[in-house]
Amino acid sequence: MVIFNRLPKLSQIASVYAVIVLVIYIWTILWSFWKLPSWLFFLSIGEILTIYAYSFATNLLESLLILCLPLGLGVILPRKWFLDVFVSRGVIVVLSVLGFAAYILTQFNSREDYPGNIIRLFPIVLLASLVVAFFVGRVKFLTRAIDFISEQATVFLFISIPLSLLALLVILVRVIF
Amino acid sequence: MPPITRRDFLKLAALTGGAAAMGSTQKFGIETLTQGRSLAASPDQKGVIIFVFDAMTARDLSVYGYPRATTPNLERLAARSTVFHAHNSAGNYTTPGTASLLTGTYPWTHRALNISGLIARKYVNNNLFHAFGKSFHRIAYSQNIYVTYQLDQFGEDVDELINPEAFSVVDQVIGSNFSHDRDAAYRAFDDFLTENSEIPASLVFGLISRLLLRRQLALYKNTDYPAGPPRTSNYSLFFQLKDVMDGVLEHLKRTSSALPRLAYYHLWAPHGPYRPTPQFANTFIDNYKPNTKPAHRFANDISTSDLRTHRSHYDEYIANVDNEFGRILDFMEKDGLLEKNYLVITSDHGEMFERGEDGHITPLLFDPVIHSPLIISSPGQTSRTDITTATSSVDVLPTLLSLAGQKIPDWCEGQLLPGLGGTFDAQRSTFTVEAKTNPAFAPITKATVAMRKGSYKLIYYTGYEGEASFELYDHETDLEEMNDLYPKQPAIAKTLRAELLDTLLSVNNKIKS
Repeated sequence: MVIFNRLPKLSQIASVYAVIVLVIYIWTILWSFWKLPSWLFFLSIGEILTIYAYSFATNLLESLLILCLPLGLGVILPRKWFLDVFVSRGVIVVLSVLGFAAYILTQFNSREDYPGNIIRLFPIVLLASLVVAFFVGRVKFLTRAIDFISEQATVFLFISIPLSLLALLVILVRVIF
Repeated sequence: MPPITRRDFLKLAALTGGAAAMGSTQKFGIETLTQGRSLAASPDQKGVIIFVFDAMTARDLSVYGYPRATTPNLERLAARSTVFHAHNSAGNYTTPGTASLLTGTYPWTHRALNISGLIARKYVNNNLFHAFGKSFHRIAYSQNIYVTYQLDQFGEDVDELINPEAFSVVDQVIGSNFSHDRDAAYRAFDDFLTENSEIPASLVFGLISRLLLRRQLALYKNTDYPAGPPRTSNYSLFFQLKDVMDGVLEHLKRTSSALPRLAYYHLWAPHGPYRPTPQFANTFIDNYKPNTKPAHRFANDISTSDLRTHRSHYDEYIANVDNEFGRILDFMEKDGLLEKNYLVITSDHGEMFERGEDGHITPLLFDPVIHSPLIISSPGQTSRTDITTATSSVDVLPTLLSLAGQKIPDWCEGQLLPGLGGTFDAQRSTFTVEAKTNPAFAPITKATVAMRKGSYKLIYYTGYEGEASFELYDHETDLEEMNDLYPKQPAIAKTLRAELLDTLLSVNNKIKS
């Protein structure tokens, strides 16, 4: 199929996915450290591990969702613009989007306000990240550096994927039975 | 024969077509469990309907003599009820206060000490619903998810558990979708991954859920709430007071079990943020000036004028709640529900606006924050009875069991309420415990404990910055708690202090062992 021809190699996908995993899981784990002392006050270890199971299963789903972004861009954009330098350009795009998401989350000043002026910047951020990604992809040194770092990050997949699948299994058992 | 579990029943229902008989309860997200049990009930067996108004202090209710006319409808109910004038909650915020009400035990026993804490797992069967047993149709609804945590812990003891968001206009409570694992799901999603009060732990879904919620709120338009609908302060649940009361009212009408009901409705209002409708907003801009009290060392230094403003808003919200409750009262009177049920009006804790502190999340245990209303209307009661003896929220469970002709379990730490089977006991001590920063599994070492004995109230602060300290007040002469007698009446102080410390030592030894 045409679409499959437009997908990068599995190793390239893994490299970009590893960066996504790194950001998303670390975000959750860091916030859990903020909560953990209070959980330890009144929850058992089993109950705390259940929260982590839900968290890792959620992280798995959201990381896969974010992965669709560079894959989608690879399908939509001309091959030379994105797919040929998939890892470095994909990493730049996902880091920009996730960074912007993190920034938005810090901009809610009350429980009810809607920072629409910032959210409306999303297409601009996405476009800017694409432009940056395009130029980064033309600088050999940066491309190699990003490729190297993201390749090293794939080691985390050996932890995150089994852990998340186990978490998903635990939740399915808890929810169904 | 092992007891029939909920799952067993559901399987059986599916097989036999019995599921159809359960009826559709989707409208309100109600989970109905009618377990395999005898539906036979004595025709004269009375039911019990409990309304808990979160954070409603007795001190700001006109039914208790407050100068602002905040509760005309409660006054109407009081005319045919037993009214308790010195009723104290066993905790000063929802978790311990409600757990004491529902278990008839003090916080140092049930251990739901922390803000979103849980009842000690080994005591979860020691609860109101379990004690009433299967001869009652047991219903529970709470807008406050901290209470839903506890109701979930009771599991099959609650036949019908209504979701917290059931009567909301805008909500985002993900945990309710996980009916088999609700408690964990609330905690994981609504309290962590997609929480609305802090930065959510889920970077992507947290943001998406937050944006969807804000979008829904932006689209909400109602002239009753130009600044947005009232909300709970801990979860993403926005409601209109009228809708909530309508929901409860419909539920009261709809429940048609052959069994007498034990219904527990825990409503968020008048808990902050105070958001009365325009009909009630600014109704208490008056000359009422409560006593100015010196700021306490543990208070937040809120100015007196701010405290007065906050109190006025709170009072307006109470008047709004009372007005809505009036519709329920009208229905209950008209429908004869008051003749068939005991109606209990109470709160899980109070609210304070004095000494530089407002709200109830505080180490302080002064009267406004623990003095809860307790009004019990018995079937057929036509006149008002006033009880001035000090009582505690742990007394409600044994009293209701006694009134319903049920056995009072030995784990219960409360006594029968005077006027409803109990007697006046001048030597009795009741306690209120604030220990939100003390681990639930450890002895209580960082806490405020208030002990009420006769007209005296001793407050003990321990584990906070500085030395442990005591305050002593005599409510007979000083209901406003202005005059600390601890240094002035050393003999009484010594006796009460010894009792309080002995009690604390005793409960701590139980935990250690």
